[in-house]
Amino acid sequence: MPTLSRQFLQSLDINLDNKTYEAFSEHFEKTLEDRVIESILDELNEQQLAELSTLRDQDDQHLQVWLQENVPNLNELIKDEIDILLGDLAEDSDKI
Amino acid sequence: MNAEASPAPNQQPDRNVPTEVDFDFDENYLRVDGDRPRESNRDNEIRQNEEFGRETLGASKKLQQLIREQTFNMISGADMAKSEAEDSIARVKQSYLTLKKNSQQRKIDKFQQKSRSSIFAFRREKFAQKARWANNRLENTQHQLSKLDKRHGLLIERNDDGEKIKRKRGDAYEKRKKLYIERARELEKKRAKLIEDQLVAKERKRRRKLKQDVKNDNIPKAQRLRSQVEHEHLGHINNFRENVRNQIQIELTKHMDKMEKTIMESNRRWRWHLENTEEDSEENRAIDRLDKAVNGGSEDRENLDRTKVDGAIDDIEDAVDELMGDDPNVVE
Repeated sequence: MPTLSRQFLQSLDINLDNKTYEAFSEHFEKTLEDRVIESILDELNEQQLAELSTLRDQDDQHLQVWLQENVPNLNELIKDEIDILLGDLAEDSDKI
Repeated sequence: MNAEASPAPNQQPDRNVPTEVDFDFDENYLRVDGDRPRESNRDNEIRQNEEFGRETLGASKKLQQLIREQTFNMISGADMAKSEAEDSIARVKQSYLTLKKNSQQRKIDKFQQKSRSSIFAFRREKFAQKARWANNRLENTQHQLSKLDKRHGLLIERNDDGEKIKRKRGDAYEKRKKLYIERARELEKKRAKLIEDQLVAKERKRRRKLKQDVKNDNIPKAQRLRSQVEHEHLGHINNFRENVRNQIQIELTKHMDKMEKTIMESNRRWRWHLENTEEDSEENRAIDRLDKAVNGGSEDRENLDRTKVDGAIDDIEDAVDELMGDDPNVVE
């Protein structure tokens, strides 16, 4: 189920047909994910970056533990990126 | 140059002490135009690690899930409360209509029973039913006409000779224009809130970056900057939000005044589909009260007060109860 609800879009006066809505939600989620990843990478120092690169073959659980230890403000990072993206959406809602 | 400013051979220079010439040296400063700055092995390694890190984080299902959850919570915090309230309204409406339908059904049963009792009664009832049917159709048409008139006003009509004449839109049109302006204000307020959050988030991000730069680079003002950033962060963000809010409010007022002027001077239709047409009914007034309570809560997503919503749901239930009590067709 898309995280960007139709109701939320309608509250910004954005009305899309089904196909466009699905594509738009997908694009929203992908953009958000990319921005969060960039934001996390910005937070890391060289040593942490080197550590992260060694976790490629580890399981997801291990990565989560590492993230909790090394990016304590992960929730704040995600929240800020969501706020920024929603703000972008609100600014451009006339053009959508 | 004083003695303190000259570092020992194996010691980092203390850049906090003023020297004759104090500037941050940039290795690109001396490069000839067109030359690319030389990339060291270290830069290469960092870039590669970044790429690996991006790949690792991108593949993490748990991170994706966390992002989705947070987005859902942020977006639907208000939506969920609202949809819950709307469900409630729908439920109450449904029970009201069911009661009404049952009541009408009972009346029909009664008529049918009478009609079986004698031929005379059957005929009388048959005609009475036809008259009711015709009356209902008439009322329905009148209602639709009145709705249409309320929405669009009567712009064109024919005179006695059959010629088309233009007529000015009536009070209903002016009223609906004002309603549209109200809706537009609400919409702009929502956008303004999102833009405010966006600007504050960008500022927080910029401050974090600054803090990180200070932490990573051994620059002369490191100590001072670090303490500055750490101690002023919260106060700064609060002040920043206040300033942004004031600025947005000024812009919003200007924008809305301009929009209102344009709408009031124009003679076109203004998105009638956005609103209900029966805004005077008791039920719609109750729904409006509910909307206000829900929107009031959703304006501040972090402090969404569920009791407001619950209170409003009670209000609508009371309002509809009153309605049902007044309706002679409803049988308890």
